Amino acid sequence: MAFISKSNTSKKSYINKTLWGYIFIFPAILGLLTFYFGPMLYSIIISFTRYNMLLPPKWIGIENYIRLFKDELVYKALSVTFYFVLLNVPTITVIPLLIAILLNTKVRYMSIFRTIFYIPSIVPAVANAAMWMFAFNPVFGFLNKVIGIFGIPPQQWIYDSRLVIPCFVIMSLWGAGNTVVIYLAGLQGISKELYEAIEIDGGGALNKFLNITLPMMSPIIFYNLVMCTIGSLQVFTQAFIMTQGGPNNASLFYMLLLYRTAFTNQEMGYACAMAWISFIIIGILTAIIFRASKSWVFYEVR
Amino acid sequence: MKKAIVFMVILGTVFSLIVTTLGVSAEKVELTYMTWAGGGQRTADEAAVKKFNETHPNIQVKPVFVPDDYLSKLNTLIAANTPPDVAFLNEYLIHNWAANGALTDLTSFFRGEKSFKISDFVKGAVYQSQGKIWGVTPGVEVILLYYNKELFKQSGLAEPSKDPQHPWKWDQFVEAAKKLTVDATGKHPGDPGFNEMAVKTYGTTAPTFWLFILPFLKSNNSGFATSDGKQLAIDKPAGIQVIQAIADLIYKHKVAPSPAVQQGLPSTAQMLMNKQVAMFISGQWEVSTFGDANYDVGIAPIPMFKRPANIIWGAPVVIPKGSKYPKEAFEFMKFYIYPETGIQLSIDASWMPNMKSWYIDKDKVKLWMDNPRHNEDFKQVVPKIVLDIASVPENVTLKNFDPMVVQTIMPQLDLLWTGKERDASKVVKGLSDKCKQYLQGTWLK
Amino acid sequence: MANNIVYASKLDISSASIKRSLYRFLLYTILIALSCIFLFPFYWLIRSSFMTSAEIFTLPMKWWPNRLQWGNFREALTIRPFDIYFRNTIFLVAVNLIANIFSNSYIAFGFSRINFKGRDFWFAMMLSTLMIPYSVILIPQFIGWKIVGAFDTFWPLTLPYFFGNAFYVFLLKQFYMGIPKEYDEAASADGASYFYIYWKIILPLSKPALMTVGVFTFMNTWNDFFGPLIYLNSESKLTLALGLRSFMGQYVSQWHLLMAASTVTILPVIIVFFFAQRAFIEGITFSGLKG
Repeated sequence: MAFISKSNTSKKSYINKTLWGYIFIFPAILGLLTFYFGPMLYSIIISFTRYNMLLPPKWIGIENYIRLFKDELVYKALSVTFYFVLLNVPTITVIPLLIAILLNTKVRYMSIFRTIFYIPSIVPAVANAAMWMFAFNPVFGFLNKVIGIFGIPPQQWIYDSRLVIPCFVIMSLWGAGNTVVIYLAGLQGISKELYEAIEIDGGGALNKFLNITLPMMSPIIFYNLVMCTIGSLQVFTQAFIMTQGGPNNASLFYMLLLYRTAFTNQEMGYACAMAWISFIIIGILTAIIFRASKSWVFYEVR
Repeated sequence: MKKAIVFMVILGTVFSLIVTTLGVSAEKVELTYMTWAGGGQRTADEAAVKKFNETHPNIQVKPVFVPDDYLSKLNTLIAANTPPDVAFLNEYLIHNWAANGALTDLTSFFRGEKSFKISDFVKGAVYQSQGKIWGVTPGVEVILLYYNKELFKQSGLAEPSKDPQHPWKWDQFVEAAKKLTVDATGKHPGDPGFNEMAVKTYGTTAPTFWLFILPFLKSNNSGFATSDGKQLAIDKPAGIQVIQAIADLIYKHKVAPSPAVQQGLPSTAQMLMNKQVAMFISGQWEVSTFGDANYDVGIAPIPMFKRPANIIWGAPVVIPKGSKYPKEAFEFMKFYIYPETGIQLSIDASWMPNMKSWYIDKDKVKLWMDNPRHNEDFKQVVPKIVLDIASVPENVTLKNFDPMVVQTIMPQLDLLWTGKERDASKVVKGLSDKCKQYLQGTWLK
Repeated sequence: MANNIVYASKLDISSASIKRSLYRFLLYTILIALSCIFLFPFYWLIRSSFMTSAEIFTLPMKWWPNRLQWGNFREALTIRPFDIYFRNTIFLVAVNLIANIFSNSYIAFGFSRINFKGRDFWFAMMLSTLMIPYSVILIPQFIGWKIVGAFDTFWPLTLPYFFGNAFYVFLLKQFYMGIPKEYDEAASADGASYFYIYWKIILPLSKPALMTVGVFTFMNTWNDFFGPLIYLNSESKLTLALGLRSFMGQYVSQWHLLMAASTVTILPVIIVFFFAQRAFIEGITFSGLKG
C-alpha cells in the first residue's frame, strides 16, 4: 500500500516540479524565442550568402567557411585574442579577489576606499582612452617614468607589437571594479561562524582562506571565470578607439576584425560565418570549464 | 444654352481653383538627415537645419547625429528599408555604393538646377562615376606644411617656399629639419654626442598616416596602386623611395619622433606652439587650433619629390535609394552644400568652400578668410593649391581602398614606422600577393 | 617577583598590539597607495574639466589649470539639452532596475532551486546568447523592432530586460546555490509553495546579490551607448551617453566640454554606488544564514 502511494506521490511531485520549473523560467524562454533565436537563425542563414546589406543576399553555400579556413588574417586575429585571454582571465579572476578580501576588512573609511576602487570602471570610454594614450606615451607618459624608477628602460607600450596586448590587460585590470564588487558581495555571504570555528581550532589567516573563503567563494569565482573568458573573447572597443588593431595587427582582436568585415567592408555574410565559428569556439571552451568545475566548485544545492 | 455655358464656366473655374489650391498647399514632407558631425560641426549643422526649416515650411528636416559607429547604424537602416533621406557617406564608399544601386542618381537634379552648374565646383567636390553624379561634398580639405616662424628666425634659416608651383624639394625639407632639431644640450643630429633620447625640439613629424602619404606618392609619380588600379605601385621603386624617405626622418636623420611619441597626442599643433616640433604636415583643419590660440603659424605647400602635388577631397553627402522624397531631399542637399550654408565651418577651418568662385571673388573670400584662423600665409598659399595643384586622391578613386590600403598595406608598413624593419624594400615584400584580390581597378570612367 | 610577572605580561600584550598596529599601518599604506593609482583617471578627468582645450593635452602634464574654467560646465550642459538627456536616462534606469531585479531573480530561482527536466538545456541556451557577437544580430533584431513600429522609441531598450538577461541570471543562480537547501525543504514541509519560498525566503537572503544586479543595471544603462545610438533618432529621446559623444568632432573635439560633461555624468553613479555598497555590506544582516 505504502509502496504504491509512494510511487504515486513521487510521480506527482515530479510533474509538479517540472511544471513549476517552467513556470519560473518561462519569461526567459519567451525572451530567447522572441529576441534571440530568430536573429540567430537569420545570421546562420546569412553566413551561407554573400550580403553587402545594399543588395539582397546571394546564396553561396559554404564558400564563406572555406574562405575562413584559408584566411591568414582570421588566424592572426584568433591568436591575438587567445593571447589576450590567456593573460587576462587569470589576472581578472585572481587579483580582484585579493583586492576584494582587502576591501572586506573592517577598517574605518572602508566604504570610501571601495568606491575609489570602483571609479575607474565607470569613467566614460572616451575619457578613459584619452587618459591611457597619455599614460602610455613613451616620452612624457608616467608609465615609463614609473618603471624608470626601477631602472627599466622606457618602453613603447601600445606601439610595440609585443607589449600592446599586455597593455590591454593592464587597462582591463584597471577597469575590473565590477569583478571586485561581485566578489565583495560573495564574501558578504559567508557566515562569520565558519571563520570563528577555525579560530577556535587554532587556524590562522591562511587556513581561513584555504578552507573557508575559497570553497565558499568557488561558485562566484567560477562565475567570474566563465564570464571573463566569454568577455575576453569579445573585447574590442578599446582597440577600436586606441590602436585600430595595430601596430602591424598585433591588437587585431577577433571581434574588431568581425565588426570591420561587416560594416566597413560590407561583407555581412563573411562576418556571420566568423561569428558562428567564434560561437562554437566559445561554446566549447565554456563547456570545458563547466565540466571541470564539477571537481572544484562547492555548492550547497545542486 | 446660355445657362449651360455659364454653368460650365462656373464649374470649370471652381474646379481649377480647387486644383490650384491643392497644388499650392502641398503635403508637408519630413526628411531625415544623418551625419557623424560632432563638436563644432554639429553646432553649425543644427543652425543650418534650423535655417532651412524656417525658409522651407513644406519641407521639415530632422537631423540625426550619429557620433560613432556611423556605418553600423547607416547599414542597419538601409537593410531595414528605413534609410535617411540625406546622409553623409565616407568618400571611400560612395562609388562602391553607387555601383550597388544604393544611391539615387543626382544627374537630372543637377541638370535641372539653375543656381549652379558642375563646373562651378572645385576639382573633387562632385562625385561622379559611370557617367552619373552621386554626391557632393560640402567642404574640401587639403594637406599643408605648418612651421614655427620663430624657430626659423632663431636659427637663421630661410622659411619654406610659399609658391605652390615651386615648393621646397624633399631634400631641402630634410636639411632644414636637421638644422632645427636640437637635443637638450643644443646639439643637432649628426653632431657628436647628439642624444636622441633627450630631444628638445624635433625638426618635423613623420607623415606616417596614409592620408598624408598620398600626396607625396603623387608627387613622385607613384601611388599605392598604379593609375589604372590594376597593379600595386607602393612596392615599386618610386613608391619605395617615398616611404623610405618618410621612415628615414625618424631613424636615419633623427629629425622626427617615432609614431609612439607623435601619435600619443591629439594635438601636434600644440607641440608646434610649445616649440617641441618645428614643422609638421597635416590637413588644413589644424589652423583652428592656431586661430583659437591667436598664434601666427607659418603655412607652406608640402615639399615635393619630382613634381608639386597635393590632394583634395571631402566626405560627400548623398541621397540613399530608398528615400521616399528624393526631390525634396535634393532641395535640402542643395541648400546644405552651398558654401554660404556651411560658412561657419569654413571660418572654423573644419573644411573649405567647394566652389571655385569662393577662392577668387574678393567679396566671397573675405567672408570666410578674414579671421584669425586664416592668416596671410593661408591666403597666399591655399587657394592656389586648391585651384591648380591638388587632385583627387586614391581613397576616392581606387576600388577596395579601405581593405587594401588601410587594412592590409598600412599594418605592414607599421614595421617600417616602428623601426622593426629599416629597409622599405623589404617591408613591401609579399604585399603584391596579399593585395591581388583587391586590385580591381578604379572608379574613374 | 609579582612585579616581574606583571611587567612581563604587560610586555606580551604590547607586542601583540604592536603586531596589530603594524598590520593596520601596512593595510592603510597599501590601500592609500592603490587608491592613488585608481583615483588617477578620475583626477585627470576633473582637472581636465576645468581647463581650456589647449591646456588639457600640453606635455609635460599640467597638474592644475591656470585658471578654473567654470564656464566649461555651463557651456557643456546648455549647448546640448542635457536636461532632456538626463530625464530620459533616469527613466530608462528606473524601468531597467525593476525589470532586471525582479525578472532575473525569478528566473534564476527556477534554474537553481528546482530540479526539473530540461533545466540544464535551457540554461545552456540562455548562456549561449552571451556568445554571439552583437554585430551579426543587430540587423535582424532591428528589422524585428521596425516591423512592430518600435524604431525611435524606448521599447527596444527596456522590454527585453523583463525577460531576463543571461549575465544576471547566471550571477544570481551562483549566489542562490550557496544558500542551504534546508530552508527550502523546511518551508516545503510546512506546505509552502515555490512562490512563497522565492518571495519570502530566497529573495530576502540574496540582498547583496540583488544590490549588485541593481548597481550594475544602473551603471550599464547610464553609460549604454550602442543601443540608444541604433534605436533612437529624435533629439528628444537621446540619453547622456550619446550626449557625451556629441562633443567629439571628426578631427577636432571639444575636449574641455567633453571632460566637463563626463564629470557631471559620472557623479550620480559614484554617489549611488557609495550608498549602495554601504547598505549591502555594512547594513544588512543575515539572520537566516547564521542560524
